[in-house]
Amino acid sequence: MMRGWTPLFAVAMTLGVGVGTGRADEPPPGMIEVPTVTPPPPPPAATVVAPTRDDHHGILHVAVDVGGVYRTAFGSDLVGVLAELELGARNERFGVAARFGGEVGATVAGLKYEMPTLGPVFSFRVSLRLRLAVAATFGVFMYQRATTNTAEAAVTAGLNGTVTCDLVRTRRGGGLYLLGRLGWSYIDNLEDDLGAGSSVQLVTALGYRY
Amino acid sequence: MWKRRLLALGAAVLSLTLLGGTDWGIGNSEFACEDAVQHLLDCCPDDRSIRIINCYQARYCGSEKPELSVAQSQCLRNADCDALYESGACDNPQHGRCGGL
Repeated sequence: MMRGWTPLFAVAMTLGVGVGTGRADEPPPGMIEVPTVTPPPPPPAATVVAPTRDDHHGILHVAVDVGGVYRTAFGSDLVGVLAELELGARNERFGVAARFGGEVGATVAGLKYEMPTLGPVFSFRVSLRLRLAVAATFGVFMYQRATTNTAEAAVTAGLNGTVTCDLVRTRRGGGLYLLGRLGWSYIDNLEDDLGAGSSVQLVTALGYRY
Repeated sequence: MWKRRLLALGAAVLSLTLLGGTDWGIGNSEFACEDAVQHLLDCCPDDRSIRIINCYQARYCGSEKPELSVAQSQCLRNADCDALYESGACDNPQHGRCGGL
């Protein structure tokens, strides 16, 4: 048993050795340091970026339309079917293409006609699903005579406006759409009369834009 | 270079044609006549008197006109088949129901 200052001195010596010879980050003698593994920092939260179409660079525009046509020409009502192909380029807001179209039908009385056309088309996107297009058409109007079974033809030129409403949209900006069109054409006639050669066209069609 | 010339030539031909520089085209009365004949052929059981109708309208400097006027043609085209048959238009389209037009 120790009395007086002896125990305190012993404690002081023990602490003094520990403080003086060792470093603060070292474990005291007799103790094993267990390395602590710090977990790596969590990765940043993943953000899913949907592939978006480039707003500034155009992409290939391919569209196909198939539908019905009502037309007035030379005082007669004509009904027919229409198929057309558009080839060009478009971006998010604007597109320009060449439109190749073919129309076949008959007057209400049954006189058959055909009308192949081509021309430039300029389209503008007005909302998410709605597009407006204006186009010029150049073509030939042909009909089969009832009396001789021969065909007559005349050149045509016209303008039309089209509204399309996307029914199903694809990620690339394409999709299935409904189309409505109002157009006017001048059909060259022997009278050289603007009124006689005027032809108004109404179209309703389904289309697919790639 | 040849593409530009081809485009210019095409545009010139189209412009001249559309501006009435040629007599190429479809005649208004000719089309109406053919439309009426088509209706008569569908309606009339005997089409011999209809097949002889001449709807030709002269091109260039000719003066030939369709045998049915525009008014006659439209009248015949708008008439129903029974009315055409009963009026005698199937036997003589120019003197039948719409003959007086």
